[in-house]
Amino acid sequence: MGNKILGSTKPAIFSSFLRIMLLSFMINTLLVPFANGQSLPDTKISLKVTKIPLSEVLQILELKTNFTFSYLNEELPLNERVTLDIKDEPLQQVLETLSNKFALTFTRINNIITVKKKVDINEGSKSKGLGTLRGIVRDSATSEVLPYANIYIKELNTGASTDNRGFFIIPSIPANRKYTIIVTFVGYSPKKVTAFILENKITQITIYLTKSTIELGNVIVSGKSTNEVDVTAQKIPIRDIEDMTYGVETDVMRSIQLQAGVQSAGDVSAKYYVRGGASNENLVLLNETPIYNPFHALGIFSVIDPDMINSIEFYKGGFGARYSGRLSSVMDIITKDGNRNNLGATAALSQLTVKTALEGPIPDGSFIITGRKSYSNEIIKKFTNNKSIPIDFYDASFKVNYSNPEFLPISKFTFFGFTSNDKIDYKDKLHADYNWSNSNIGFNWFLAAKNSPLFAELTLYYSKFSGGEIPIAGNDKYIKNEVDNITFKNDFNYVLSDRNEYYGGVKIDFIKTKLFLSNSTGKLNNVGSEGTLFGGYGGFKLLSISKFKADIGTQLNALRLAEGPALFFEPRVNLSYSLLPTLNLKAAWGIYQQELVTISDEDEVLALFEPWIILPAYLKVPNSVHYIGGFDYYLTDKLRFNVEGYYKVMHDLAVVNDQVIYPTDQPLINASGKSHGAEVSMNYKNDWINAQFSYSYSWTIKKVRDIEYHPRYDSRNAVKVYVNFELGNNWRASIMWNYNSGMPFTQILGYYNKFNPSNITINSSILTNYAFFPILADRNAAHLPDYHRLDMNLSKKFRLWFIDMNIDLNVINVYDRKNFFYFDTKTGERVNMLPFLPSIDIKVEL
Amino acid sequence: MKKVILILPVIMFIFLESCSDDFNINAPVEDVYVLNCILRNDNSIQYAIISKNVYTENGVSPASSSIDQNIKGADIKIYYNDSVVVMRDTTIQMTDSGSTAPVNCYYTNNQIMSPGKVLRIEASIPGGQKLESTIKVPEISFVRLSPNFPQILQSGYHTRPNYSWSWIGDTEDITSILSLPQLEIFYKKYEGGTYVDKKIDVPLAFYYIYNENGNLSPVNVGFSFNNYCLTTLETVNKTLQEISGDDPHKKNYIITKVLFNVISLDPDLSRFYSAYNTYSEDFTIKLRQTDFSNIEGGKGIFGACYKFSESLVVDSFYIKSFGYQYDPKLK
Repeated sequence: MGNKILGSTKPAIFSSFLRIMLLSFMINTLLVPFANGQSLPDTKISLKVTKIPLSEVLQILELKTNFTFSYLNEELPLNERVTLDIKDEPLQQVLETLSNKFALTFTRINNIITVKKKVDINEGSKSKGLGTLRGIVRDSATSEVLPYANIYIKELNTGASTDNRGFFIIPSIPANRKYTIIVTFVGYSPKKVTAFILENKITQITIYLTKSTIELGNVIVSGKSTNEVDVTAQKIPIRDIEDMTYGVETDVMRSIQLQAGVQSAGDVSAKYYVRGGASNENLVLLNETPIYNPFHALGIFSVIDPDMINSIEFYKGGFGARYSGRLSSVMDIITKDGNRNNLGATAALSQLTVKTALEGPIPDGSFIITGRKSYSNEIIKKFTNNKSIPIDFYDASFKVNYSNPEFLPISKFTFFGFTSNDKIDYKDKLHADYNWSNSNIGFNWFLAAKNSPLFAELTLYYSKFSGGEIPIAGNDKYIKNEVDNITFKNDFNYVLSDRNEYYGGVKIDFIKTKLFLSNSTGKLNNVGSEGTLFGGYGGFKLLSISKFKADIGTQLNALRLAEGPALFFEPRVNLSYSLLPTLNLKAAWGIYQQELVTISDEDEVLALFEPWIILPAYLKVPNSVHYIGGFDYYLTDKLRFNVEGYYKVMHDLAVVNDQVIYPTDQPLINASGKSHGAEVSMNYKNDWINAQFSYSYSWTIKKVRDIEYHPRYDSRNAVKVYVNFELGNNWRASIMWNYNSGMPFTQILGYYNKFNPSNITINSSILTNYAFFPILADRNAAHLPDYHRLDMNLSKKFRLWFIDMNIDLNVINVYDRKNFFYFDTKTGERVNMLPFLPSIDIKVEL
Repeated sequence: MKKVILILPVIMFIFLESCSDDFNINAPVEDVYVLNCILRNDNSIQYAIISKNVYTENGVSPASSSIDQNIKGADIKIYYNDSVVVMRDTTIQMTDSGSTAPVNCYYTNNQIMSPGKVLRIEASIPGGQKLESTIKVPEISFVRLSPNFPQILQSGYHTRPNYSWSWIGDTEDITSILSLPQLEIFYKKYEGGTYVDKKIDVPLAFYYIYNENGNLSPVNVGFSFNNYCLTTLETVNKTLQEISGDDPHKKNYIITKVLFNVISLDPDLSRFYSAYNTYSEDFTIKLRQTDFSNIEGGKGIFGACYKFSESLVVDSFYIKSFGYQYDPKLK
């Protein structure tokens, strides 16, 4: 189908869209009856008892709550002794603890909770049957889900980690016995709970972890996770991002540049380049919704306020079949749900922005609202060679979720939205003004079936990008870009009893792009188009073999945005093999396509924004093939080495046509490229130090019109060092050092006097109208001087009356290295990157 | 681990000391010669300039160079049909530009332009280098001119609201030729006991677009690949009123001629012009720009700028309605 102007196909597309939406909604709805179950209240209580009978515990709970417990004396082990030490935790959790300890069920009807012995269909037989454990890990203070926490079953020496929803599932557990579950997460006190696993049943638990005031020696459950095969995934809890203040204020896009294999084009831009791919080949998802222009202020800062983030999954390549639409990398950001227990507010002030967040409970759910606005351009001037640009930006987000265990035990409805806006406003009629914005709004429904290891997720979102010039009288040249994206998708996972897993999903993308470019006559041409992508993905995770794991899947599309064969596959394979308990070999291979491209010039060191369009019909569809191999080696529980090598082949890349002369010339042309490299990283974590060291070697070449060149971001060697010290008494310090060998640049052969034809109608103009124009040598054939920069950060948390405060002192470029940014080809002027730059942030929390 | 952390700064120091900052933004020097020559039919003298590239030390602006890069003593010939014109070396003191420095250039008084003619330039530089280029003069024909401009019915001054013109290229693809239409009104003004020749341009538009207020606004003409233009009677009225302004002595003005011109650039000069004027806002910092040249052996441009003109017939009653005198030759 490809690009098309709405016509007779539109009703058919919408009809299909609606039919699939309806079908998926029905599938999710059909799961609802299987999801109905116990009703457990989450009224908070504190309780400390030592070896008292269960009957007394139930009486105490009746006194502390409005609930009455109903049970048959002969059915329950009322004389069994109980020891509990619970402080300000939900009643639901207390009951789950008792449930797991004594194999009880609790059913609530209004204020009466009926307690029964769990029915075991094979009771007495003690068969060799299996059961499943699943649940959610939450923060005890806010009930926020905790992604990437480790769940470890002590008796089986096995475990899993939570996903970005805080959800985990461990199948194939020998049934009819109690297990000790140890849950650990960095920054939280480890927790032990017991769980009784029934045969052919799913035992469900919710575990609340308490933040540790002092960094304790967390139990790091290493190499035992059974549900992960992703080779290149970096799963980053927000706590780690918050620690990595790399720049004026914490910025996700800049922090990610500390990962091996992620290259920046300099201090000034937050744009990043992954393993030889261009910046427009990186997919940025916020709550599953793509953000088309994730940058404020000419790419200097990202639009994602770190205060709203709960977790980030970052894939440097080899990503699984679940993700599509980009050639290089995926950054999957999930925002916080908000505090389910208490109303809270935070406010923060840096030298660039002022921001605030409000979060709190709603009945059976929570909400969070965040907002951030720039108020000063003084810092921005440091990034723009002291050029004053009247730029103003803001971003805001909200998220509301509802998850009533009485209605559906593991289910969550989420409604979310995000907007960001940048404006250059000169407040006069002499300069053109500019405006660009992202907006998205969406709905998500996550549902786990009650007695089936099936969970599904339904998502519907609308994402929009709009950017362009606000023209002034007399200036007919103009640019404007719009992207409208409506997407519906339904994902599911089904975990088999032998731990293997099927996964898949369907997706419909309806995307409309407009790009108005003015030609030399001032006439606007719309080079945008619209299209519908209908496809899906599916795969199988082989997890049942203890040493060998595999994830084999593919994207399968039946209708595409751009021109080309409607039916196409993007197969992907991830493999891992545990050669030793501490040594894990891994490999990945995959084919990736990208049908939304930007008209962005790699030779622009700063640009307002990158205009997006559906791949024009005159271009072939860009695709890349990733080959990745490597290993993880745990020298100790605290010290991990990771080594990865990659080879990437890029076909039919859409790059800017640098020889556009006529208005009819196409702005993009196809190019090819390849890259290879190796990365070595080391992570060390103990009670007082978190250190990362990485070295990466990379090599990238592109070929346009049979001319090969190294792209501007192709730095051959990179060293990154990050050390975070917990100094005690709520003092924290960190240092970051970044080294890149010199990036490619184009030398000049001198200047020549170029005739300026603007006044060509004047007879004598050929004699006088000249300006110097650089004569360039071969493209990017030389290298700039090496780049290195040291940043330091010192922060202190303290309480002032009833306010929690955090003060951060950041120093950028401590030794004031004159790193080369670019030279002005018109004047020969050298422009450096950021100088020595101290800054301070203050954050208050109510 | 603690030892590693302590050793790290030492390693970094040694590492940094070994980092070399030797680098040069300039590649090894090469001489590049530049020939610029734009022939035109609306000027009796044709000029050409030859210059050499400027080389500056690392990071020094080329504007700081005081060396005259223009080349003297070159042999420049222009070939057309079976004839050849040799351009002469001279120095011109410019009076209408900001610079007072004399310009070393080459010129010829021969008018060698005619539509459709193939022209070849060859320049031999004293060092032996050769610069060459061949172009074809654009060929334009008017296919539609608004008759009886402006057409006015004497009864009730009822008029056509819009006037339009279009033209085609006889031999070249019109889409590769940049053109600039002009509508000029020539008049005489009686000042100090004599008539002084003057001229005013009537604004033209390619088309009208709806602006943000929902009103039609013109897209003003510049050089474009369009081969049509238009104007409105209201615009012509305003232009004619501007001639005298508040001067109550309308009879002191004689409208002598109304001329419609199309200035066309040959395809190579059109490409040069387009490449020079690619769109960029002020904030984007770009390290490479499109550079077009049709000079073999060097850089620069050899082009033809041809002006086609047609006199328009204007209704005398219309001119007199403004109080002006009417030159009978306008009929």
